[in-house]
Amino acid sequence: MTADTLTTTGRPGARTPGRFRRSLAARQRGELWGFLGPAIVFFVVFFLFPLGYGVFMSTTNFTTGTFITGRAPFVGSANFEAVLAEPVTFRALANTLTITIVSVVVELVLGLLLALLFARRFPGSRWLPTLILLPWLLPAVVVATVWKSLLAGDGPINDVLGSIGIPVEAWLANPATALPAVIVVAVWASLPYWATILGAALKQVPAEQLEAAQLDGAGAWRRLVSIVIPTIWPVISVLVVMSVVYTLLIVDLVLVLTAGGPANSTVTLGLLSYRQAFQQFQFGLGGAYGMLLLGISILFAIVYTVMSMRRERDE
Amino acid sequence: MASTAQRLRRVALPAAGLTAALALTACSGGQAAPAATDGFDGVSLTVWNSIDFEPYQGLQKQYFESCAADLGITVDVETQSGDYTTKLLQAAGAKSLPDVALLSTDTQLPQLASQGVLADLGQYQITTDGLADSVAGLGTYQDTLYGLPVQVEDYAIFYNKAAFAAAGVSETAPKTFDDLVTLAGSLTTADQKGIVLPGIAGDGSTPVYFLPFLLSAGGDPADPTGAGSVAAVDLYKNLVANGSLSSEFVNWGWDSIDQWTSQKAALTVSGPWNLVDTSIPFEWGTFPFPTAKPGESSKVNLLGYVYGAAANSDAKKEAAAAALIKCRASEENQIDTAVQGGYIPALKTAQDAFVQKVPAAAPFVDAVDGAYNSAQLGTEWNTLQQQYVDAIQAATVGGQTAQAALEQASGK
Amino acid sequence: MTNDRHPAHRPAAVTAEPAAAAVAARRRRRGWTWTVVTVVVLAVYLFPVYWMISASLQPSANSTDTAWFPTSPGLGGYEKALDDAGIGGLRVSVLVSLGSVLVTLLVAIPAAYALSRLRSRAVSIALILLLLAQMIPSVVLATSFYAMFNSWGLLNTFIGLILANSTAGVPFAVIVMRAFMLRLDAEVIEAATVDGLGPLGVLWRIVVPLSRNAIVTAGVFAFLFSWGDLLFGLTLVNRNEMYPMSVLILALSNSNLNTWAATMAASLIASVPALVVILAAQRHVKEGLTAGSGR
Repeated sequence: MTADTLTTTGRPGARTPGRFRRSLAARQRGELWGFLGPAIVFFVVFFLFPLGYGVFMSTTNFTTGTFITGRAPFVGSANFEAVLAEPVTFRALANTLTITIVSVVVELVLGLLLALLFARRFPGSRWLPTLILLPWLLPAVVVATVWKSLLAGDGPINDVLGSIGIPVEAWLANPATALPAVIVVAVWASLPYWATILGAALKQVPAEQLEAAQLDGAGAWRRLVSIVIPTIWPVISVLVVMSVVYTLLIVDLVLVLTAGGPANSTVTLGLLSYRQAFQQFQFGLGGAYGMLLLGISILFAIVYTVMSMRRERDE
Repeated sequence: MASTAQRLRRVALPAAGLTAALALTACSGGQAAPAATDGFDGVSLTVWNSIDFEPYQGLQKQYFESCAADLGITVDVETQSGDYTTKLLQAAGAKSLPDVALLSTDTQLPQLASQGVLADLGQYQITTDGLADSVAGLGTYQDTLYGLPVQVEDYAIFYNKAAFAAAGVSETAPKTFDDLVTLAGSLTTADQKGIVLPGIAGDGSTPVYFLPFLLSAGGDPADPTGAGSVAAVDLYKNLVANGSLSSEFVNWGWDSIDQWTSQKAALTVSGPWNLVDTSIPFEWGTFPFPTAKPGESSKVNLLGYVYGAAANSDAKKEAAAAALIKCRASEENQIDTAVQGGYIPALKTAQDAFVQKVPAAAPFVDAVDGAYNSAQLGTEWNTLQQQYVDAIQAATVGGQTAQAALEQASGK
Repeated sequence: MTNDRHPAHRPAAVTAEPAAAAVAARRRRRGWTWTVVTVVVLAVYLFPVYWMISASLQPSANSTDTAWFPTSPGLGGYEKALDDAGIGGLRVSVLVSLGSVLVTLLVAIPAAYALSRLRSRAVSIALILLLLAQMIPSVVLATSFYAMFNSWGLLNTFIGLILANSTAGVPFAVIVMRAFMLRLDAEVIEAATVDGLGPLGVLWRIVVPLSRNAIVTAGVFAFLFSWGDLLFGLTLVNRNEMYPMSVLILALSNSNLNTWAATMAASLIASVPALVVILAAQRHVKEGLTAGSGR
């Protein structure tokens, strides 16, 4: 446990007597804590309170009247029990995990491939890759609306697939293909971000190392695995964490694309939370789904932290 | 087109219902003592409408101002946009309700009436004569008449005449569900499906158009696993099975009508607003709903628009408001609104006149008598809606039987 | 390689040039191959965007019969979009997003700076809390905000939407900017302090200019999060004139009238400001993100 210190350098000629120095440091420390003030207030009001409210909602019989009267009889874990008794919850759990894991993996692999492509120097390589950010900028409601029409049974994608001989169907209407379709759309919207970040990170890989390895006879794959990936690993791990959390929380994309259908084949915990709260006005159940989702996120964060701490210890 | 913005708002904004439900305030107004007064000189009233587009908006102003002139009073007609229900409830709480207000019978009327802020129109010689029982019932709450219905909304089957001609099928209405399945099957070609219906969850369209089938099969909407519900879900299943209803219907909501207007489907269900849609590029007609078994009569769900008066301690004002409502609900006004806006009139005589002018409105009008007031399900309807959608989807693209799908969806 | 005759410079240069030229030409051809590959990849990837543009220019088509190419393009969709919804929704979205950026930066810049300078266990806790904050499901946030704003009278207000949308930007902004500020030269800051600048002065005059890239990055993300929001717009607003663009697009797409071109037009209109922002800021963003994520 170290005492609070500031990063100061010992500037020659700026030697200050001990007592003055300590109180200057203390004053500066106080100022810095003051800078944290607005953020702390913001955090308490807009994160901590809603979190507490969410716990409150999920453990009470929360009705629309509660918003007015503030009264909500405590029901303990009844909401959670009700939620876990529904078969659709487990479908949602499975879907949420599937979407998240598959999306992140695909985004990592394809993102890296795209980044490697864009890292090459060729005519137009300075500005062409920027265009790929376009899908990422679109609001989720726009992405979902456009893709809904693209994936229609008689839509353009099926026109193309049909003309090259691939059997087509209405992807969003078949319970077996709807979830993969949702994943495709989600990846389409997020991949540009991965490609751009990884592309910027690739520039940090020291060229001399790569050249040296090439001269030593290392093939492209070897170079990738032994030099490139370890160098950009910190970037990859940050992207993975951000992406997992973001994908777990997706609501609007699925809501607009399939509304959880067909036959509840694309329900996620986030969607069920929305459905219960804002379509059925069952806020207790909505809160319970929300807490479940939060629990999964926290679990992931714990697992991730443990794994990265272990990794650091090994190194 | 008349109902553009109304459909726009009503269909796509689920949370609007939340704020409506949440704006309940605790205050309630008092009931004024009845007084028979004529001669309303000097009285000035405010009127609120919620349908804020032409021609409806302009027509309302016209009707009210002309009625006001007849009664010797002045009126200020305001059109409210946005969440009308919340506005009404907040005004009720602040004791600043308008003297006369347009109310929908599935949400606004019951909520305001239950708070005691509406005047009992029965005291002012306002009767429900000339209205079918089902329509009269729309304006009552606990047996008191709080709103005089001026127009109603129910549903019918629309068909594309050219599709019938092309298939060599005569334009007779299907009498039973099996007839409908056969008919839709015979109208299905490579480029055109026999029928299109909405099937998506969440936007409210699927249950609204499913209810007439459920009701016509003798079912009770509050009983998802009853025989009527099973028959209705089975109908959807059969329609998908014989290829006349595209399995993509599970992705379509209110926009499913696009399939019909672009001639990708021959049959569909819609409301009276479709009667006055001049953009439909082909000749069309209407049918009533079929029933599950031969010889029964079909039934639809009904919702209405009424004018109510705020309970007012000033007896003269309250009486004036009632008189204004009575005048507004006149036959000519109702026919006018129907022809221009696509609303079914409340008065039977007005309905008959409407059918004379727009013959395709006949199935709508015929179904009004004996129709089901969907308001009576209350808040339970929210949960039931999702259950029906789940069951429909599970039975059609999920491969389950109708009975099993309904049982699973309703948790029984 | 030269031949064994007496090489005068010119003959050697003459023989060397074609060889070098050949190599250069080969490299250029290979370069163009990659260009072609990239263009093809982009064309396929961006097809949905093309589709959106093309559909928005076909005012008579509905969602079922949009052609691949608008053979008779028209601006009817745009007219309808701007008429029915557009201008108001656009205004709301722009004001709310800009407001969110402002609030985000006001809250996050001092906090990021403090967290980059302090050496206390509180910093680790703060970082964990920031991660936790990002994990709270949006439905939970939306319902809580509804209750809060309802009692404070902030429903249907710009302030309400701005504050709600800032929750998406603040944690990310703090993390990115802090990572960048960790690398700031402490000497410069120390010098400024000794020179008599108060804490706000140091922040404003020294830290902010030096952290421009990270700040722009954080601002751009705050803008994009807020711009794309659907949930808060749906739940915290019930008046037509206060709905942001995304909610209006949803309404247009669900409507049972012929509004497909208008939906696509509105979608395009809704995408333009985001595009403008990112193009204007892309240099800063690239640098800011690399610095921010390479912690």
